[in-house]
Amino acid sequence: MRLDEPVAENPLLTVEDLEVGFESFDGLAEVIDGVNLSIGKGEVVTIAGETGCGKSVTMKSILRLLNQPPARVSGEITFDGTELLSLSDREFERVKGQRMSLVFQDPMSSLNPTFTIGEQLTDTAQFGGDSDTGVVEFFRRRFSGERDEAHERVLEMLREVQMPDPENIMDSYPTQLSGGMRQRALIAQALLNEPDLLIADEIGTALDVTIHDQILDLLKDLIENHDLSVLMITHNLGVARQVSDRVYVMYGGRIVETAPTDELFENPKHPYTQGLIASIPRLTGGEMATGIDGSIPEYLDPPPGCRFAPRCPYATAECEEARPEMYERGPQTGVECVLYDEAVPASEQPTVEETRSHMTRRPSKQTGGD
Amino acid sequence: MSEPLLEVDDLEKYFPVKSGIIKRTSDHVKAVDGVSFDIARGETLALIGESGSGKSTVARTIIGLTGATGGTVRFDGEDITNATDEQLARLRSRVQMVFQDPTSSLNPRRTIGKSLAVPLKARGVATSDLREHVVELLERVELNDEYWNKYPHELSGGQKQRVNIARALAVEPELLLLDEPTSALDVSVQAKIIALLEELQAEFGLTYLFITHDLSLVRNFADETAVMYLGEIQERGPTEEVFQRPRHPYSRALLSAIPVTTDEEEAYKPRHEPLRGEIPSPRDVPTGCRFHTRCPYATDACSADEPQFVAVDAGPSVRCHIYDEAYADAFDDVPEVAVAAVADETVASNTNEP
Amino acid sequence: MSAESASVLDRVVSAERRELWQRSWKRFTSRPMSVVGLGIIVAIVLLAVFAPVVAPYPEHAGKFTDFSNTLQPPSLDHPLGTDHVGRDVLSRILFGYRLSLMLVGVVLGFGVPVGVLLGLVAGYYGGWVETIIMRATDTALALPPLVMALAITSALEPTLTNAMIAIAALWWTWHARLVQSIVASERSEEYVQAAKLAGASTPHILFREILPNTLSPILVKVTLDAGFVILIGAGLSFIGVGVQPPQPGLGTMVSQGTSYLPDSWWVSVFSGLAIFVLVMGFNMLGDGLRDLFDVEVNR
Repeated sequence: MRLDEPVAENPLLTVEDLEVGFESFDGLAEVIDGVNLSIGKGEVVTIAGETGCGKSVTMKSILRLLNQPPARVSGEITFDGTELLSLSDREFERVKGQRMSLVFQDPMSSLNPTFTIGEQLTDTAQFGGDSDTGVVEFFRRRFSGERDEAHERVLEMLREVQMPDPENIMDSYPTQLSGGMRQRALIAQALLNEPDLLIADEIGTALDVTIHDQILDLLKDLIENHDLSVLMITHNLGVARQVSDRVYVMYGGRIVETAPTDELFENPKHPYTQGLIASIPRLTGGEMATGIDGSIPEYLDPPPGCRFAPRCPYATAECEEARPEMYERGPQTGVECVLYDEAVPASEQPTVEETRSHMTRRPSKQTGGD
Repeated sequence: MSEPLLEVDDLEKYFPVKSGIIKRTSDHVKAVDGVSFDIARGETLALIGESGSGKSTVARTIIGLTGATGGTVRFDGEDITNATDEQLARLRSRVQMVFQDPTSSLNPRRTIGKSLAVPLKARGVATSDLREHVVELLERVELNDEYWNKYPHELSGGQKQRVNIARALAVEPELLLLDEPTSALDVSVQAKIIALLEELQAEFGLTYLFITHDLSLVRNFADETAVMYLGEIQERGPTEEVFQRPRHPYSRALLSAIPVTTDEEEAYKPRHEPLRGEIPSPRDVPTGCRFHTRCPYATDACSADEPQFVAVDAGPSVRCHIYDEAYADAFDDVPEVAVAAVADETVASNTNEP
Repeated sequence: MSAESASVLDRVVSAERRELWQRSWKRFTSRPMSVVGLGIIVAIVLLAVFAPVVAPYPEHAGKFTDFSNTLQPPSLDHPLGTDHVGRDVLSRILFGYRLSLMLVGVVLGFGVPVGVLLGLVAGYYGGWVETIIMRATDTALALPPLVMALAITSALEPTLTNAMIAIAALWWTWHARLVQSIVASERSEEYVQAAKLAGASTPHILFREILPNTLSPILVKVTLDAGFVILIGAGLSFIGVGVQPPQPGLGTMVSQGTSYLPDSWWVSVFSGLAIFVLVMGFNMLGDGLRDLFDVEVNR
């Protein structure tokens, strides 16, 4: 049975049939090819996938961060009842500024090095979401008592993100802060205007393990305290498992599997998800992690049918001809793989162990894979 | 017992910090401050650490890309600390290194074939035989001969790293220093590269120094594991011991911080205790035990006295007062090392290997 | 591997290589400015090379006078008019281009290799080698080229040769500095260290590893420099210390024509335009190349 309805209960953000193509010298690259996802109010949803799967592009199309051209975005993105793609740039900026926030990937380069943390964050507190502010209004606000108020709010927020010595930090420049502190500053900045939706793009990828750990812990607390809805983008499945309620696994510009977190990790269905999980080295020892043969599809000339078929140990001719449907396999659970058609008996559906053994097979000479 | 292939003894690398108009040396960055370990022939030592630990500097000092300011490095019995040019030239054919970023390790303006020819020519291979040797090298890393004429930008991250490994192998080395060789790669690719490295090790009897910040990578791969923090080794022992019974609070913290994907692993990890504070800068090393500013068990003794590196229970060696009998009174909340004993049973029942 | 399969492989790979060139060409030609620049330069080079054949009155380029035909306005016979001794302006401009291009060739042909070599050495070795070379460069750079050229040609005889020597003597400094800064940053790149580890000799590292990575900026700079050199040469000729009459230096022609402005405007104006077009051509080509390489680098 096809999974047509948006899976979240009480959805805040719904993405339907999102398609993004990029015009380049060599033709049109069909990167995002029909993505459907949804985020419920108060839910933490993760898009997990490796480099080149399209998760960043998806996020950027939601936030209108792509230049169109060369990008061409189509589909429906609904936020709390409003259709985002039909809004003008100005209207969209207003919605985004007041209700959505993005925590960037690289704290090193996302803060302006020529302003102190205090200045930057107070600016956000005072002017965030109001890109229409005229010059007069800007000066009025900037030099009024409202500034002090905003300053206080920023201090509060810095304390909440457990920034050490917040008063001092307010007067410091980003280059004087460590990676972990910069990340906290970014998170504080994102929360200043009390967004409904927080988008976190690969938080912690650039951070050390122990610092990353602290940040994730912090994030979990903040999500609870502020009742945030979160869209997380990550390539680290372990992180997805720690923080999310539901996970979308992306490959080749498509969602190949989605499920509530526990279900996804206890019972991964799509061969790609299984291969990915089998590739993660086990802390407990035992078998070596396997990896997946082959490489991601060329978006300029993607394979017809299932985009994972060239690398899938179970692929048949059917897989290469037509794109599989998204089959529903439980509440909020879907897999885009013919093996999960209702007609297929459970015995033919692979387990992680089977997929692992298929992928441990000695690879033949590389003709184009990794 | 035969001599270890690589012996590092109290290695030190200090970088001078110059300040003032006449650039006097005012301070030192103690990147590596007394590191010792041995690697036996054919084995793998994993060197684990976060930023500021000095792990990369250790490798670069061993291979001669930078000079040591103290301590000794012995390779196959020969002292190669601050090697002479003549020693370096000889060393090049026995010790090689693979770097972290597959892209910046390859000259973007030269084809793969040309880049691989460099070590071959240095070894004395005749120009007419070059192509044959290059193709053979490519095949060893599971790339076919198509790659010889390609440019680096035409290759994926994993393929580039295979080329880097091939280049390191070209001189038929005995010891390979691998500096975060898979950190820039996706998980599915990473696993393949590790598998390749394991096979190559078995086939050619290679010895590895494997440097990484990712503990989970080395669990099945390394014979011994050493954990570094701010220029010193804090714990070192057989990999299984370090993973099953991490003794140093920093090792425990590292292990507990790894995001895992199964409940089994979750149960295996030490109790989760997020560390306080930031990693200090190597320029400003804390007094006493370097880790005391973030350690959940730190006492006054820890900020005053530097702990020695001692063997514990005839197993791993640890640098921590908790395991020093002289300080037994200072700690009333000794971390439960025994927690891992429970994990032992779980592990034993789940895998076939000891 | 058999010879046959080797050649099939080569053909496959050269097909891919050809594709790469095609894409670079496509990118280059997508910017009209680059194409126009390239067109101008190619046209002028061809005209200059074939000047003796193409010019309507090649003998007018040297010692020639025809006082019955002085200062004729542009006509069918003389599309750009004649100058104050009756020579065809068009023909002289074509030969003038020859001189300009020769100036560019000599100056850059000497200045660039010297500068690149010094820059390579300074950038790679650092330390006191770098200090010596770069301080010398700094000193030379502090002297304005035009003034220096003026001084040198005034001290020696004011001839084209001396003008070329004067400019060339200073030109290497720009390239030395450019290359030195690139090499200084490239030398700590991992591919250089990897080459060192692989046992490569220093000349190999300098010329086979690092130099190819500096070629794009050098090429762009050379193209833009060409325009600069021409302007300096024209400037020197204009004030009388460069190309001497009766040679058809473009600057000299502009200078000679000023006495007859504004009535017989065509001598100065067309000579000036000739300089303008040539310099613009180089600039546009240089800009186009720079954009082309930028894109490749950012790929």
